[in-house]
Amino acid sequence: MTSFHPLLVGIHPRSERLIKTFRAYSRKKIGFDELSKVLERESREIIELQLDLNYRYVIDGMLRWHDLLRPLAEKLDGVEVDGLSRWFDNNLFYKKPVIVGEVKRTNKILKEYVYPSKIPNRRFKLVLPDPFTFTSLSELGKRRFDDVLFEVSKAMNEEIREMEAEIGLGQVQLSAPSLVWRKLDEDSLELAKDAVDECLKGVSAEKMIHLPFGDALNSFPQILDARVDMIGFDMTSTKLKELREYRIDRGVGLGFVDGRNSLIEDVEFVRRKVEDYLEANEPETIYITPSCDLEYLPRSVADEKVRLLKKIVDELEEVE
Amino acid sequence: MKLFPTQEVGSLSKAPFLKKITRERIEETKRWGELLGVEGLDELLNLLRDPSKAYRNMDKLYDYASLFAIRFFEKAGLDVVWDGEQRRIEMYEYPLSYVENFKFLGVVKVWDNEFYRKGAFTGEPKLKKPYHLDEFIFVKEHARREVKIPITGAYTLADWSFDEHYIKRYLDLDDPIEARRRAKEDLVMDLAKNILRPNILALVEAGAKRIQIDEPAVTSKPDEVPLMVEALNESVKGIDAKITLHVCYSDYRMLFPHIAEARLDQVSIECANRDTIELGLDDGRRRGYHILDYFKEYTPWLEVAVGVIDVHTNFIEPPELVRDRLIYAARRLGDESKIVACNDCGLRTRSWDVAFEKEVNLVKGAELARELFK
Repeated sequence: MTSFHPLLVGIHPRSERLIKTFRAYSRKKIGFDELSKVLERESREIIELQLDLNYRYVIDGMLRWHDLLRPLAEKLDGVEVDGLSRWFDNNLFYKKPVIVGEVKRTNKILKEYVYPSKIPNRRFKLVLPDPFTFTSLSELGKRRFDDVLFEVSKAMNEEIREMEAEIGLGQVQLSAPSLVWRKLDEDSLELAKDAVDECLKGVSAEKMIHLPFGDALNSFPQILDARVDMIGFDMTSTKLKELREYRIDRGVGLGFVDGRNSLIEDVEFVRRKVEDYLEANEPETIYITPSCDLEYLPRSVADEKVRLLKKIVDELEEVE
Repeated sequence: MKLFPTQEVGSLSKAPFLKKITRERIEETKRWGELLGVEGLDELLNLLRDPSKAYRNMDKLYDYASLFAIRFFEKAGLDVVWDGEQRRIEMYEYPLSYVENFKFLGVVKVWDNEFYRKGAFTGEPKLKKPYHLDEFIFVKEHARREVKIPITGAYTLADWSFDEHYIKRYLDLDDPIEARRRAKEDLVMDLAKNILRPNILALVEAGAKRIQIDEPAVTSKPDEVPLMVEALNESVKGIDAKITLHVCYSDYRMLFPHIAEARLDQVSIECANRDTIELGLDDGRRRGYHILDYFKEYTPWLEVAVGVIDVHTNFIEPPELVRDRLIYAARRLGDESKIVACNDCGLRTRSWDVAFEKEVNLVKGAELARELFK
């Protein structure tokens, strides 16, 4: 018997009010305390939206994250932040991390970036880039790729474990677009998998890897061996017929709801797709997710999709 | 024909009096008006002295802004001019406000805390009315030089929007990527037919001889460059005008070989931003212009409007640097008659003082280059 849950997988869009607040902060019209207060309040709205809809794991919206790599790029020793680069094939840009020395964690990384206080114990969902994606998107200078990769993995592992001890985590998700964006060679995929394992070593929260912006099969079979509990797929970039053929011995996240288009999907349409998957597989858990972060959408549309995920789950449960 | 003709790309920051009217801005208006020899300056200054009256006459202010910008480029000595897009706010929202079956939904992030208002196509796009005609007619009536009008291309209008209509046609396909590809093709081609083409036809009927199609989005999805080319061809099919394609801040290699199929006369590209500011004609110093090898190999018939002015710095390119860039570009392309001296992109992020000095040196540098080829 499969259980279904709605689940978000990344950065939520800022409201227009928050955008204005950030502007005021960058123009030094308000201080950090005031920005923080607004961030806390806005995070609470996103948390409450998910709690009201009975989401098992809850994100805080990641509203302070300018991009997925930024907290690591800003806080890790040996990393600096450079100019803008395109974020995959999106009309969205991130600031490229530049590796300037040995990558180490000497301070807390995420303390200023997360707002977990309103999330019940062990339901907080933490999202980070997977170490391979972070390293691939960085400027390495003269450093060797695999050296940096495992330094990053180790630093992330320290951070995740410390957060787990201090605030309690429900789920940790590594977002790994670089593993599916293009077909990597076998050695790279092995390396990526080892880095995921290193990064999540000793973590007791549920462990998930999410594969946005590409065909999940690009990362197979290596990524299926990663020591994670859940694998999430971008079903707007993966053929259902092909994915069905793989026996995946753990839970899956199915991202049929497009995180990059404003069309609100038909509940029946998604339900049929999920049932199609269930004809060939029967995982214990299926998360109904967007294909990627919702930050590509205006806030009101993103919130609508948060509600849509729950509606799809309700529909699936009724049929089951 | 004159070697190394000079032209701009489109935007210029707004005329001083389009911002909040202050005593300083009135002074600045007077200074620029006198320097540029703008006709009717006294009438404008009178109007500005009563700001509430001025704000009630925004149409008049926009006309003056357009006139100031035309004279700005003419005074600097450019051969081909435009009005610096004084009436436009940006290149996406404005055109789409004239399109039926499109709705704005809200803001989305571009980077950090920078956002733009994005919308969705909810049906086949239809043009309410040609949206650049009035501004073109004004510029044509007032310009003393040749005029080139910029217009956002069909591919970019589609790529920066959501699609709530066309994707529905293909949801049953098993391959979601193929579904998106076909939906995008339908949308882009409908925009070319229903929006770009009637706009361009209206402009040409009104006397436009040079049209610049802006496609900043094209290299974000390399697989879709052929689609942009197809849309461009549809947009300008049978139209008797000189067609320029402007693309900036991109890996231009992605355009090749596809743009060889485009019905184009000229491509306008940003080069200065990736070049050094040292004088010289060696490959290292002129690294911003190596891309001309591709134009030489694939599209030797095309004019290339190379950016020799970086619009993202306040550094004033000396005429000698402009000269070296043009000479190097001409040699690299192997045909000096195909090189046009241009800015990397619109000048909207520079102050008028900086922009003016840059444009004056663009013209002087082109003259220096021309002398060497005499």
